[in-house]
Amino acid sequence: MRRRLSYLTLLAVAFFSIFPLYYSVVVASRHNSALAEVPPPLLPGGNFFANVARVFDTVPFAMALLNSFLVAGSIAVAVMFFSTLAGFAFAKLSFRGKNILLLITVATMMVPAQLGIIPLYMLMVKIEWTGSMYALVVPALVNAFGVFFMTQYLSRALPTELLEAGRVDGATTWRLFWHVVLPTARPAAAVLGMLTFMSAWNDYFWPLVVLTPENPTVQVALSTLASGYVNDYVLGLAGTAVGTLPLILVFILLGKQIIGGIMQGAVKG
Amino acid sequence: MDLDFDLSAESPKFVQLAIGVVAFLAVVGLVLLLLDRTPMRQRARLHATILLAPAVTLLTIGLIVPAVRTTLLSFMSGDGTDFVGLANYAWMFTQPEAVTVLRNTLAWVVLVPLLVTAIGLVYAVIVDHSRFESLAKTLVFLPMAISFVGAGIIWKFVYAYRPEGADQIGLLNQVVVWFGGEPRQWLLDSPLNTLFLIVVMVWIQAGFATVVLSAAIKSIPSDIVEAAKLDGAGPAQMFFRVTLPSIRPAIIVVLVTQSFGMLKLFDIVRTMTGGQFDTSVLANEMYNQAFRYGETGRGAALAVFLFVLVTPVVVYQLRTRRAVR
Repeated sequence: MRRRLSYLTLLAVAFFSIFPLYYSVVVASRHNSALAEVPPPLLPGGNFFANVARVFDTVPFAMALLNSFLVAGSIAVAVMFFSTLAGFAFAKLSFRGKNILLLITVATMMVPAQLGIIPLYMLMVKIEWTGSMYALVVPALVNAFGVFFMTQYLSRALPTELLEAGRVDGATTWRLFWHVVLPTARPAAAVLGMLTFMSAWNDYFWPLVVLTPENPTVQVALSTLASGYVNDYVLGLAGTAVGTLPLILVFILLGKQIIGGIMQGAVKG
Repeated sequence: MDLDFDLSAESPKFVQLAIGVVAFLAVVGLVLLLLDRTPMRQRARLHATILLAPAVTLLTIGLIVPAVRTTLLSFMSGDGTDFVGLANYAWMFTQPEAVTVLRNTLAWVVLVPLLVTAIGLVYAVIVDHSRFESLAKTLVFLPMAISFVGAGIIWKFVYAYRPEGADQIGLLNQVVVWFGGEPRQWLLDSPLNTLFLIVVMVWIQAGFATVVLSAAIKSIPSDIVEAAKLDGAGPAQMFFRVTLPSIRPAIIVVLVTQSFGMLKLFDIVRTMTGGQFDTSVLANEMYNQAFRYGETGRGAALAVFLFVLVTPVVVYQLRTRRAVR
């Protein structure tokens, strides 16, 4: 009895999680007229690529995909590098003011992005970066979460003796960083890069503020699709499917590492 | 299909990219060069400065300075020229819609964490040691891959409404009609519409809670579990006396993380209702004031208020940080 109950719950939750996803793929692959069928269609149809083609006709979706790849990719690489640098300093060097600086970093991590957005937008207007991808990439080149994440990891994973030995041998910090710190940091940096890529790919508030619908990211293009007066659901769902595909692939390939990273970074929110 | 993707039209973008890459490499080169000149034996302070310079500079320009300027702007008039004292804050708490916005934000901040934690906890306990554990967890986690905007689009369709008599196309109304009920405008009737939006967030976040809590359950020392079993603890006692106390820290992490995230909530409301029909929340109101109505001062005041609400979480985090150390 208990067993049956638990299977039932399991089924119910799994259904609640998966069915909306599945059904939106079904709808995205059918013609608009199929929506009103009774009973509703439960299997994917053959119209998916035609619908996707309509998405590309309605909004500049190719450009949006390119923009999102460039922006999220650049941000991920920069965050990985700068966070490893700073994380190394916080984890393994002792200098005056370190604790207070680290405390400020942790506090910064909690500041909602909205607090800085209005002046940041004014700045972008002044230097004429509105509508350009610079406006997305440059303010996001480093974030407090990344620094904190790498600090945590390096203070555990980087053997102090190894650094000491290098120091005694007279190795420069550059050599130590390149030959000891970077190889050690690589697994954590990869997770950080993935998380950063995902959140940059899915970011919406700032791109919506600073970009134009003519030169959007994926999320901005999707919201344009969905905000039409005549709501073309098939169009919106087909766009969502294409815009989510890269992340679903990442999830399927690297799910374990992502979960691990999210657990460590559960403080980020 | 109009795949108007001609590379020459896009070439400015690649020029931009090239400029960006060159600038990035220049910074990297500069940092490494500086480090190369200074043997490790020398003062650590110098090293720390070089290593931290990029991160600290970017954080200061990108976040700290704007945050201070926002606070100043919140005391200025809409166009940012005249000092108006607390007028923007007074406006915030006296306009009639303000109560609705605050009520909605409160609903999100309270309900989402509770629902997500409850569902995650029950699900994690049930699938623990079951045959389909990893599959079950993957399924519930999958919605996390979807952006809030994408989730908004999917659920806007689930909730879609057509006038009675017409064929219902929304998933939910189809089911309702199928069972002989009357179709409803799920997203129009306040205050229930906010609850239907909250369901979307629970859908996304339940996987996060499940995974975090399930890991916590797994790390309960097995001798405690064994001892409780030997003492004849039933499933209910097991749950309330052993499991729950053992995973308290993880539950707190989920609650805090979620309520913190809900304060900033924007994407789902923006995509699904645009904040109409009394569904607006703080961040959406801030967007409207600052970027649609040109009321910079009011927008800034809302942002500052948002930050004030987050501060307890910041303080809590800093204190647990210290406790860990």
